[in-house]
Amino acid sequence: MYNLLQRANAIFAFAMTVTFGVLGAIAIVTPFLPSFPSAQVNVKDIQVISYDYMSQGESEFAFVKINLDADLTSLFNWNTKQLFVSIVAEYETKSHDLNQVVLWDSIIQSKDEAHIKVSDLHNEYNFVDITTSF
Amino acid sequence: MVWKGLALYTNSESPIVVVLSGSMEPAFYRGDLLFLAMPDEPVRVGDICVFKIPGRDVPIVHRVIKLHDERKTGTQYILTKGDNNQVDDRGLYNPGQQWIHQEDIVGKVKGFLPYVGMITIIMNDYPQLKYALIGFLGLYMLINRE
Repeated sequence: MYNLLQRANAIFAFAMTVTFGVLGAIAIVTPFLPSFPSAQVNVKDIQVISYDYMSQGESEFAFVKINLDADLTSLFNWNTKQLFVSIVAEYETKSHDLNQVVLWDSIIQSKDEAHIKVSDLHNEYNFVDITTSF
Repeated sequence: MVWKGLALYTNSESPIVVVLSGSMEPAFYRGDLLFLAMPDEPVRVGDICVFKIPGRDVPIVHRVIKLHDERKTGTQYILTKGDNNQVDDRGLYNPGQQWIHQEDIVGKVKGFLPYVGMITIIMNDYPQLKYALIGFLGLYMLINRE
């Protein structure tokens, strides 16, 4: 009749089909889960100092101080693994029509950590343009 | 056949890759399987991209942290960094290279399966296991009557 290998193969194929069916259903449902995050970003201070930088030479570095109040707790549902939160400076210059520079980022892994309230946050990464001045 | 079809559908050379390092923890661990696609939409900060440094084979999966689009030429100057790394990827780029461009990016991460790729890593770390498996399969084919 059917040997062991054929039975194992049938079970395996069925298990794979069910698994991908469940994964597909999860993928379809997840974008529709409700969430209402809110965030307030206030720039308190910006200082610009020029330093010698890589091959660009003397370039302007911006040091920003930010107040952040973000309530991201509603983004945590049963299917949330982690939140990657970042503050991005987006601006336009004469030579470059889109510039995006990440100033600060943080990984949030649980609902308890999801309400971020920091004053006097300094930018984590160099805020410098690809040209020598902003 | 299915592989080539998948490569065409996702518009990416290798649509499924295994995570080899821990540089993107806690999002991706060593041994996770990643599903890639190369959609038409442009690269933006925050995207997790797979890129190849020109001259090197191994693809790297990191996040874009800086982006400068040059107006005249349309060239994008991209800087990446692994979430779990302290510094950006300039140490990984070629000597003297400070940015990567759209051409270096082969895909964006669209989905993942944890642990499944561990088999590839174990096979690479212990090649005796690979040979043992091939030997066992060969022996089985010889012995089996059907």
